[in-house]
Amino acid sequence: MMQDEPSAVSQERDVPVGETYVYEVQLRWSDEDRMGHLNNTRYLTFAEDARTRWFAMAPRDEGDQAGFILARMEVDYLQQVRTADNDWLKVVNTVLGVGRSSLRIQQEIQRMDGEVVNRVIATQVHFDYDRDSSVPWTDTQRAWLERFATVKPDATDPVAAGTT
Amino acid sequence: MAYTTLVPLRWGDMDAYGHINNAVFISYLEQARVNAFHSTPDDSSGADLLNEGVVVVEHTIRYRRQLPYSNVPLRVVCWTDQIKSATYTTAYRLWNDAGAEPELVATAKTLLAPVNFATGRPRRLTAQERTFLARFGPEESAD
Repeated sequence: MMQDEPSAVSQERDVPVGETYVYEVQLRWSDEDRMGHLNNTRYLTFAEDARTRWFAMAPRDEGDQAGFILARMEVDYLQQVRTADNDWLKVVNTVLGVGRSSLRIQQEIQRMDGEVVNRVIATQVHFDYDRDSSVPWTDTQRAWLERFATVKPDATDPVAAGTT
Repeated sequence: MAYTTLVPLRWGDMDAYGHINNAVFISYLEQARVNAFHSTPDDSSGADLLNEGVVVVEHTIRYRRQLPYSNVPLRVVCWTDQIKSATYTTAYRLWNDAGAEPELVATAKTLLAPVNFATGRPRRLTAQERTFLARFGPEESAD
């Protein structure tokens, strides 16, 4: 990076309305429980699979050993899903805020026609598993993650403001 | 004709060895059977049989290669191997298509029996069910 470039960590970042990462899930017969609908724990599995595929595409500097670790999840169950009616669902992923070493994302689980059945808000941390500690995002990673931001970071949000 | 279906792998299917855990293969077999039974829009015999009740009597699985997690779905080819009066056998070949060449990762067989869940008793296969099961297979290159 050239020395006279402005700092990447400015207070007011102009984040464009971003891209989404869409992950499609094939439901399994075993995802259904005794109630005849998709079991509540499965949504977390689908969200995990979506994150795994999504973050596998994140840029990584040479020698960077850090990965992603989950710090928090909020889950809203909005509709039940009967697996006989829905062989596939999709997880629509966007970024809500990028902190110093953390990331807040929204993962909307939708029927293939777009109806939202579940909403996951998750906080991920850029994490070195060997050293057992968080690692700040690189500028490249930050820029990549912010491509998926749909809203301007909220300055009152501690994650978005970069204080966590 | 043998039935072919694609089963996407899930990250959680992997164990601490970094490959798909052996127990998860049973779920892949199950999913292939369910997909096969729902693959015949002209005939609901399979879906009806599933709704009414079919239980697994025996699994035989030969693990031939490790299956690493990847974003390439597992390809499962399955067919009806044998039909008896009150049981039938489904046979499978599981292919990993993630590499340059397809790799046979497992072969398996499952013995299944229709049951009457109201009475808890096994029952005989109907003529219609036998005809339906006979649609699948055997695979031409089956060994």
